[in-house]
Amino acid sequence: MRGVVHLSDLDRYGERLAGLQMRPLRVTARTVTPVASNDPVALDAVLAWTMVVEQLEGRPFPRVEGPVWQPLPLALDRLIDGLPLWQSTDFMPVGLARGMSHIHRRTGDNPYAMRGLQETLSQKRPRRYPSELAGPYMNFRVPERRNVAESWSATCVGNKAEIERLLSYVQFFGKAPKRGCGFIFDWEVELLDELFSLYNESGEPLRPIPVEWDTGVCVQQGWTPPYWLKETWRPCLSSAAARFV
Amino acid sequence: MILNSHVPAPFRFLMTAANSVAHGEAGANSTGPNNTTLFARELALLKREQLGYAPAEAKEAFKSLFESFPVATTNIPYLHTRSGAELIAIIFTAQYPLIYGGTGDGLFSGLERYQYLVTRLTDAAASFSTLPSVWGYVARKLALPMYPESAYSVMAALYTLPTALQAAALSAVLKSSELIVMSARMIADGVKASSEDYARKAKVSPTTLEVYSPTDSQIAEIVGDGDKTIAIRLPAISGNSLRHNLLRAPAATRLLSELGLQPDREIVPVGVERFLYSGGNTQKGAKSPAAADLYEARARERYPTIDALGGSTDQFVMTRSAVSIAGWIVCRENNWITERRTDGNIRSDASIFDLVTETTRTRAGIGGKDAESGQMIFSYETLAAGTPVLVEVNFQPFTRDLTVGSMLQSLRDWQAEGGFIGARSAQGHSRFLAEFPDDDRFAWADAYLQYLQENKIELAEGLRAATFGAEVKLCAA
Repeated sequence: MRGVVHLSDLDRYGERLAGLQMRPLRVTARTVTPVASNDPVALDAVLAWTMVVEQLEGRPFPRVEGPVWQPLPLALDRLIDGLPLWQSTDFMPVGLARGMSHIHRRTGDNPYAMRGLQETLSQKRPRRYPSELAGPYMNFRVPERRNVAESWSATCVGNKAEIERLLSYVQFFGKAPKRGCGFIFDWEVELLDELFSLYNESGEPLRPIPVEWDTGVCVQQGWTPPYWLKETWRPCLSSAAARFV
Repeated sequence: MILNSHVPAPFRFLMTAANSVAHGEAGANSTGPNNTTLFARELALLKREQLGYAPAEAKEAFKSLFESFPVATTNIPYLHTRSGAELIAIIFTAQYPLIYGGTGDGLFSGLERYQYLVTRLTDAAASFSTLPSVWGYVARKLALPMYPESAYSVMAALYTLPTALQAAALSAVLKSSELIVMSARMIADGVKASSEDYARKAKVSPTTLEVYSPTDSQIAEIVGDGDKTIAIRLPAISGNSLRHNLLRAPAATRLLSELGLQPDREIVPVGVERFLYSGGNTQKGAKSPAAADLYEARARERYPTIDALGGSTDQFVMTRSAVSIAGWIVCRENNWITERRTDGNIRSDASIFDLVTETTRTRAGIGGKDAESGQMIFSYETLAAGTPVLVEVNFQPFTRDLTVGSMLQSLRDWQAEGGFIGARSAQGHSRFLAEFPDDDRFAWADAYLQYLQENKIELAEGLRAATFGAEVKLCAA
């Protein structure tokens, strides 16, 4: 893996976090539309997205050589490859029900396509429709997961006020918000009246936890934001939340 | 929820169905064997009080149901294994073989009668929330006569169950319809065998009947403590449809017409048209170019609608969409959302299941060469005219004013073009009248139109060349 890159915008935010009080917290999301997600939603990933959006003020993320250090208002469990394993968990659903919906795309179904063909009929090569059965313009109907739950809760050790402030940017939970999924009803951050743990009572991890040696039960996956960055992936004990979504 | 000041305020408005709305489910199993297309549905979690919940009344009604319908002693251990919702569904479904027994009645006859029952019952459970409406639907579809006087007491007990319990039973049917019908058949056989005459003729052991006592867990599960929720698939206007009809398609038409690129004047490449109207797609073997981020930034900067909606070029997918849209049909089941989203201003006492009904049409002259032309009867569910829908358009933090303005202009154009969402507009369906609130941001929509005019030559060239302002062609074909 390439070395960890520091960006001045993000590091300035990190300096602001110094000295903030960190306490065990429960963060709960409630949504008014179903959640579409094939993977667990991680609290540190949500906070990292928000932090980056805020610090870059909507500018595109700069192209850099290597993973970027992303300071968050969370307690650090440990550093692995120079990257943080934050003391935070994935969101676990309460009262989950699962279903399926479909999205349907019909590419030629617009007022332009046939008119374009009619206008060019007299030409040597009329403006024909591309195939709707194969290729980039094919029609498709895709099943998409729908999860509904009374709430989604994660725990962490972090700074309550700063986490609440960052979450005020977040209007959606999970994937496909552009199609109306995961619209947030409210966020709630409350003090946790128990000790924080990365594991549940059964000893299952509540987030992906990298391990040194794969004993045959591990999955190569993301474990720190951004989770999609493949070069940071390591064999991990998978989150118990993965069973639900 | 209090949003950060860098997040543009959501744009909310009410649109009312000017005529009935056809909006079929896109799922492969949405059309049953009886040529009925169901209205699109989305999974929702409802508290029981939203469906008329009263714990004490529910508990009493649940118990009295079993008093009106004794079951065979031999079936009692099996009934203990089922959930409370399944119990109601089983007793309800058992009435079909009991009432229309022997070789059956109407279409509920012959070897295939239980398969017919499974399909019709599943369609009905997806379409209705109460047992009387389900019974009526199945009776119509299977051509069954009215049930006899002997069934009055059990039917009355079923029909007077609180609506929450009826809805829970129908959810159980949807989850495992074959299990419900199989169990119902077994229970009905047990009841029939209590007649010595029947047992002798059918060569089965005679049974004795007794009143079933539901277990504590079955009662607790169905009656609960008032905080429990039920998952139900509610009729809904899909976000996908809202996004295409209200935002993407009007945005594409406006952009092309303002730039003089309508087909009767000048035609853009097919790839550009598909990108603007459908979001495009990557080509086979696509490989993101090294400068993809620069190309995307340039396209977003030049074309506010692309900034808002994103899309996919031949070689790479744009990173995000700046706009999201969702809608809620204003009904009793959605009050907790619409009230909260509008400071309590928008609510309804009507149930969504009373607002959706079946429309039946006929089509003559089907059949090809040598085939007999006949009449095809087909049905589809429609949402009642006059039904309001609350729509919410949200923007990502730091979204530019012009980008927001382009989407508000799309909404204005959608309404000006007729306000259609859904299907069968040619047959008089699916037109909405929107009431846009006074919002200062409509000035940004005007600014967007001005921007298009001021940069017409450059923007038109970007579409003509399929570069969207970048140095390379982004959409071929």
